[in-house]
Amino acid sequence: MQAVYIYGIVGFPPEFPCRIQGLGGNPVRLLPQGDVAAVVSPSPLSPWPLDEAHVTLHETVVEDVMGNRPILPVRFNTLLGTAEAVIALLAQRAQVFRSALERVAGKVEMGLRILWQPVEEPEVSPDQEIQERGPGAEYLYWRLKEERGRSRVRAEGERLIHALQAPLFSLAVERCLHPFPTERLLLTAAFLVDRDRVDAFRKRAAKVREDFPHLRFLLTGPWPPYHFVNGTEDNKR
Amino acid sequence: MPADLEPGAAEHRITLLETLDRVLNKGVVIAGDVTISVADVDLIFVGLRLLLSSVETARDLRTGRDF
Repeated sequence: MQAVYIYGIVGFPPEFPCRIQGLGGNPVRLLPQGDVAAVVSPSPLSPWPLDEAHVTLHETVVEDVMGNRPILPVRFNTLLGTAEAVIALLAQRAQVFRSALERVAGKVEMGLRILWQPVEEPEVSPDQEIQERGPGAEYLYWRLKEERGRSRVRAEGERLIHALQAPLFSLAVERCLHPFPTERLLLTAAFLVDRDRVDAFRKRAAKVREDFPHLRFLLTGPWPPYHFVNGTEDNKR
Repeated sequence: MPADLEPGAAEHRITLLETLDRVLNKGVVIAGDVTISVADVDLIFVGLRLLLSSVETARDLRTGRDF
């Protein structure tokens, strides 16, 4: 097995103190280049099945390593043909990796999703005058109502998001917000939080939950900093 | 969270979905050049791209790759 499966990027040294098993039961180790290293295991050169067992194992490796040091998680099924290719990659992107590692050192990601049920406006039929003008006018009436309804809902959503932000932002070093990702989701957010502020963050989120009883909250974490590896993208794409 | 799922099952499903969202969509993207030499083939697979090949990606992947 010449090819290399990559789980993440870490700083180097230190060497790898633990014995972790990766995909296929293959041993996880570090491939260092200068002051950064890739967390890898040997692999055949073909994608691993996208199923719960493999995805969970990948994540477990990343989290196990994170227990000891900062890590930049890499996407599932990232394979390089040879160790040399990995070294070359590290050399090429050492600077961005180093900066990103500094940014996430001592911090974890907390995920938040908020479900909502925007209140529907009661349907008001067009008045006599519009009805008399014919089907075209009626059609436009309903379109305009629909558009106004959407704007109203969006404005209400934005107000809510704004109100929710303040209590949570102060406990996070960074955040990544995605408003209205779907019809039922008001917000999907990721927060970069100091490890020792995670409990405070959880408590604060619980308080926010109480303050907004009509919203449904899903708080997850701590995660490796998946949303906060900015700057590490391949610029060639 | 559906009310009809037991707490354990719902939590498990949510955890898996959250994990999938992260390991497939986020994190460091390594998708650089493909170098093909006569003797070796350096191939880079990005799981998500294989699953959801965009036209652009398919075009890139198609250039002389051998897999």
